[in-house]
Amino acid sequence: MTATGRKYRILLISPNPLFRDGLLAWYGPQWAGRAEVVGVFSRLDEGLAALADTAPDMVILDYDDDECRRADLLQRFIQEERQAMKVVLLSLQQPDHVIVYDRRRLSASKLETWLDAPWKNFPNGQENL
Amino acid sequence: MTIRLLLADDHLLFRRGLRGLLEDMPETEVVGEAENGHEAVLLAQRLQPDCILLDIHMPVLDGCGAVALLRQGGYRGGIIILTVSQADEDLVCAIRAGADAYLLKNVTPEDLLKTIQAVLSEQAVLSPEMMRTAFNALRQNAAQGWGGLSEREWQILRAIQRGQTTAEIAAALFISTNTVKTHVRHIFEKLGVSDRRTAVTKAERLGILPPKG
Repeated sequence: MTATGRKYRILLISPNPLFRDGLLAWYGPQWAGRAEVVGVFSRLDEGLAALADTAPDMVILDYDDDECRRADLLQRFIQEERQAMKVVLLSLQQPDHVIVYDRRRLSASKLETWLDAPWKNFPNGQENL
Repeated sequence: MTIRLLLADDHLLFRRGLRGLLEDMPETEVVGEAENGHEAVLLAQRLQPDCILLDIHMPVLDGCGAVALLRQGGYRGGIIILTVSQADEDLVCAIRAGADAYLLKNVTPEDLLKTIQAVLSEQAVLSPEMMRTAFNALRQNAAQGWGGLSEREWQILRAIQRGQTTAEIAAALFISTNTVKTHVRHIFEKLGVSDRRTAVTKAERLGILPPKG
């Protein structure tokens, strides 16, 4: 659930049906009531095309697709004007870690405070972007 | 009666998802999860699942090693390799060790279930993408015999596997140590390795040498 009380919106992109359906099977019950899967795609280009319509808060991308160009997604992520979109990059070939991009927006005053000690956590009141 | 399954994969998200998927199927039940081959062997002994789904590349003990230990330990259930690896040596190693099926992780849930049911009916299953690899591996094996090694090179590699030193091998074969070293260099070149331990490991995986008992 987001701060505004609406359900958290998740978009899932994976070329592997076992992984895709498996994630939904495992997390679906845990997310029930608080989050909703607003789109499931096997191809990156289809998932990117659906970004505007689905307005996800988080994109989970399995980048094992040979045709998947992460640069495309990251470009879209950087350009995206909407607030609050996290991107989780994962691969079946990398069992050890996932990469999470969590973009944030700070007001100018908060930025100044944060830059005084950027190794500390973000100040309270920051907005996800 | 549901099919009792054991899952072994070091990819936590994949394993969790696979469990969720299989538990949603009325035909199957997941009785255990392991994150490496060693755990899988121990759990299989305790839980006696009908079928085990194993990844190939896992820490501590890989899928091939686990299959070999399971079969040596008398496990008679189905063993399905579920992996992203399309490497010929992984396929050959898994089949030689005693796997019943080799599936890539891009398989659909429906085909996975069919494969589970097939191996429990004594059938062997290969992902279509792996057929060419299997044929090539068979052809290569037939053409090269001992992986391209001469009989003398194979003898020396077998001696290395037993832990014999260069001097011991030379004495046993009535040849000089320099000749042994020359043979070892040729073995390395043919196997594409640079040390003795890797040569033995690779030869075992390719079935050129029997597993060290």
